[in-house]
Amino acid sequence: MSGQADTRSASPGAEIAPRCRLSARINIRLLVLLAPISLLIALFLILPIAIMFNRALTGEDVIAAYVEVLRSPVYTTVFLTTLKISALTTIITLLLGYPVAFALRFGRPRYRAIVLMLIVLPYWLDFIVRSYSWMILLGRKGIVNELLIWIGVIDRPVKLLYSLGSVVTGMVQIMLPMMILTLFAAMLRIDARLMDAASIHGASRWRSFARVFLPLSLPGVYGASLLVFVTALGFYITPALLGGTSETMISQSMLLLASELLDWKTASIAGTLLLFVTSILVLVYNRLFSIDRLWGGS
Amino acid sequence: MSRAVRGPKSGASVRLASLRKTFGNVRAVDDISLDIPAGSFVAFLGPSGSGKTTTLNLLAGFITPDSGEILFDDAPISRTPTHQRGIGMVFQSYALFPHMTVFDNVAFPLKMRGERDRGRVRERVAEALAMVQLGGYEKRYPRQLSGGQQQRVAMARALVSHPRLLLMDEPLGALDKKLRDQMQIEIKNIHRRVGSTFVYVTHDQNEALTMSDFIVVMRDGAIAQAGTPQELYDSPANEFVADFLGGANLVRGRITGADAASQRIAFEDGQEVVVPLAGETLEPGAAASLFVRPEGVTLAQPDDERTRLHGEVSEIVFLGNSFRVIATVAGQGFSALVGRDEIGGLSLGDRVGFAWENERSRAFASEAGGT
Repeated sequence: MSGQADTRSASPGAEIAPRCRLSARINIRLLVLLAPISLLIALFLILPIAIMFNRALTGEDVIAAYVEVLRSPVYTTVFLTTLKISALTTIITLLLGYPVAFALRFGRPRYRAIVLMLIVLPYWLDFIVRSYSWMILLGRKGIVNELLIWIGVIDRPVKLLYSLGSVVTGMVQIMLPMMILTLFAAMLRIDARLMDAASIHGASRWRSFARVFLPLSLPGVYGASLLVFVTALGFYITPALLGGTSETMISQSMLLLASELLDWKTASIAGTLLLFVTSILVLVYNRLFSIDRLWGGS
Repeated sequence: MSRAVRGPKSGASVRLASLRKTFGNVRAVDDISLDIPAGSFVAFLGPSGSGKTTTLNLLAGFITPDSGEILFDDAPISRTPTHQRGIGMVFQSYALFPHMTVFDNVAFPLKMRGERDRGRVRERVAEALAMVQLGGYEKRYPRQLSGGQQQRVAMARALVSHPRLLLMDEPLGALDKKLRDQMQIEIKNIHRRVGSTFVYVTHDQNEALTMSDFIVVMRDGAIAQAGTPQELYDSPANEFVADFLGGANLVRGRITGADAASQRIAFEDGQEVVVPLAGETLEPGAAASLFVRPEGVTLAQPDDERTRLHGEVSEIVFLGNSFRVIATVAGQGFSALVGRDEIGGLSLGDRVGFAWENERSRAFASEAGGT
């Protein structure tokens, strides 16, 4: 530091060596505490992935098998559909969730508790139940169609189910609480005094938001979006119930390959490819958006 | 383009008229009226919960008063939104924008207030940073700076657009003592150079005494006393102000009588003192405290006619340039600041007499639990 006036740092801690020994002892205890969950992860996550890799990367003509999967229009289409549905879900969830999280951040504590309850409430219902309720709502004789006819927007029922729209609607509804809660947690870490500082130095409400709050909330936005996107990639039940054949997602294909066609090798290859693509996406994303490092954050 | 450091504008006068603000059933600000002269340095001093910060937030416009009015240069502003009030502010936590460099932090008020000329912005930012001696730090981010440097950036940001009123909310609270003492002098200097009206909130009486032209002592949402530091120090209006501002002897007793110019206080041990009627005039029998500053008290022989109070020495503390002699008077502590050559052969347990000039003492209504 080339400080001129006041770059005094705190006096260095005197007793460093004993503290190190103490922390080593704590680390051993921590390892013991971590053992059960580590074992669980090793047995039920790492081992299956290893088996999948083993299936996908051994045997004769490995490369030929991959080329075949990648060449097959079925799988590339399913892959692209999966990415498209996940991206759409993420964007819509973000647009719907951000204002709610913002309102929660600056709302009165009394309303905050109620709204948080309402957001978490759907979590107590299973995915399948929620997906089925969309079938009732969006069906040919569902509430939405009846309502639209009653208002006079349409004069006969339109097809709402088994489309991209119904799949994304169902997935957005399921992912929204996760998006809101993650954003809200990130927004809570933003000092409210910064908004005061912006407004007293001449920024209108909108500009305080645009210049100060929004940029500071971006790391939270990136994190929450990534979480929703990656979770959406692996969705199975919702597209199965609410989608048509053109909304088939990769998890459905893999299930079909493994349990109906008993083609474990191709299923493993598809799984490996999904893992690979997801990892690449996360890496690229992290490189692009970890802007908090720019201003010295951890 | 070269200009004087100071623009043509100077400080704004501020008037608080019967200002009230209630939170739930707490009267945070309870009917405050006050005139702050243009260009002055005013400290709001008080313990936490006394209403000083609420008053500051009302001035800033972060909250609106329940009733009453705030006037800048005689124009009412309590309905003007914060961002149009043209104020600068230094926050206790500094509230620097963590995602902006020092330059962008300091340039922020200029840009928000419509300065489009980049050259002008650069010039004004450089000027503000030079004022707080942080030139060359433009490209750093706040978290790369020490607490003292962040404090300076906060000052530069608050002053860069030459606000006519600057609010400071315990700006030195997070700094260590040496740095705090240094910043007090610097802020005082800056105030003299820029000429804006400074309103400074603190709970530190030394800060208030060192820096301000006027001190407003607050208590329970009301003004306990307002005046120059000397006025408040020499003639406090009540026991609270006497106790809060500087060291004071406050010996509790009872009023036994009064005449046209003086009143008498008697203590538990039977001693009696006569004080001028300058403080509060109290009914005979009322609980009262004798007030006299330790530096106004001198030692005397117990049989000396100047002696007003007798006590037994319980502590002698060496302060470098003087001694603090603490004695027990009527079961309570009483201290005197005594020069090194006046201490003589005084030792613990000695009977000693205390003398002072009559007009330096007062009688105040005594509050239970006070010291």
